[in-house]
Amino acid sequence: MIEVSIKEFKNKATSLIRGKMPILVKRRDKSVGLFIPLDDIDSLPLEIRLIALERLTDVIKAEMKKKGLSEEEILKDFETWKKK
Amino acid sequence: MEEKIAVDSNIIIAALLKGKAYFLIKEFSRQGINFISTKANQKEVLRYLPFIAEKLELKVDFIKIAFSLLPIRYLEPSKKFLEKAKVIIRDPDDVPLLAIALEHKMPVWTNDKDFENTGIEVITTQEMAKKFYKN
Repeated sequence: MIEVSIKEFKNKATSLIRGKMPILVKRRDKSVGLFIPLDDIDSLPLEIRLIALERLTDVIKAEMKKKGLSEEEILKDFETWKKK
Repeated sequence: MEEKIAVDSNIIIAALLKGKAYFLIKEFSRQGINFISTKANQKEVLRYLPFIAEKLELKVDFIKIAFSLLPIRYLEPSKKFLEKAKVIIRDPDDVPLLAIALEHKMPVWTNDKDFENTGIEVITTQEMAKKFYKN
């Protein structure tokens, strides 16, 4: 994984992204963002994979809450869909 | 010893929805447990993802990325074990997962009752949670 400042990320984004490595973006000493290449997810270290997964599933969970949908309802729908 | 657990499609979807299965996969992966499923289960879940995306009004690519980040490996069972599994389980959709579990001698994590009495250990999400809190 590469660590860069926001300024470096902004100036070298194209070449950094081409490097196909996860990039941790920092402001002063604080981590503010993580860029993850998606073309070889299986080669990513487990922890990075889990951090990204956590953020994406947070969005899924939030949308479920907003729409009043439960996990049970979706799983029930999946079972019905399978039988079609 | 390396511990491996076969995961069914219903567990994979529950994990994507950040249910109990999500936390269990995450924490057990950190402990070195390998979660394995089949290419057939992978295809099945991928076919269903557009329906989840539609329900949640999210881009299907977004859900697909989350799905690909789950620490689960998808394998193809061998013909020999597919043949064995075919005579054991009723639902043809369950054959690949049973085959891979038999081939790699691992339990199946599912909430589907069809896997009962198939000669392999079946673990429900509730039992996985108990296993986690015991550790």
